[in-house]
Amino acid sequence: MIIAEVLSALAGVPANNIKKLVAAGVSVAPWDSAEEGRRLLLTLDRAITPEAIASLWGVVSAELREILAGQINPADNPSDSA
Amino acid sequence: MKRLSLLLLLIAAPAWSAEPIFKAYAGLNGVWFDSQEDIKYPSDLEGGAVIRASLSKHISAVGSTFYGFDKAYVRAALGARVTAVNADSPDLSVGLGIQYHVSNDESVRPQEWAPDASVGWRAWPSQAPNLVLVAQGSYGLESQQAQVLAGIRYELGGIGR
Repeated sequence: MIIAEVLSALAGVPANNIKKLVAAGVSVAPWDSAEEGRRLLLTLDRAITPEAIASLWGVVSAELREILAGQINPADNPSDSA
Repeated sequence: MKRLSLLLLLIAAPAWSAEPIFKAYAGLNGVWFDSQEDIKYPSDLEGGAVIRASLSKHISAVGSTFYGFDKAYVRAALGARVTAVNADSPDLSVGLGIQYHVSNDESVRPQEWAPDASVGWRAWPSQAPNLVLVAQGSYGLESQQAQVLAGIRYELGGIGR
């Protein structure tokens, strides 16, 4: 699962957690009941740890400082066209 | 909008890079709006344009405007996105962000902030490098309505090298 590996590399979330999250999302779709939605949120809560958020914020804050210093280093990210 | 564009140009001016800062895309979407009264699949087909300003490897400003062919609405969005790229395959990336949405028909797309998750995949980088397949899910913070779209983009060009 490439997306799980990508998110894992950027945010420091164990890839297996992301795979579990995606599997949970697939298993409850379409989310037509409050109970299914609650299960998905609980799974999400376990995947996104404080360490993962701190890691992601480290990347973003460093780049924000570069931007504010006038250092623009654009990248060709396909998802920016969505 | 003009002030934001000017600000982005001023920020971008000191730097030089082979990759353009600004890129424009033409796009077609199948879009699904989360409406409790009327759920159809898809809700509408849209045509429009997307502009992005890539400010760093992982941070971009993004904006778009689309016309819904069936319900005859116009909607637009402007916001920011943080991107994760597969180092082994730069033709696939995932973005998380938030945009402010407006439209001329609030029953279709309420005016509000909406976090979103996006996927972009340049599926044929050699044969069709300008084509990108995209998908995006967003959730309106006030309306609590979800929106999902799947579409195709054609890169028109870039400026700001």
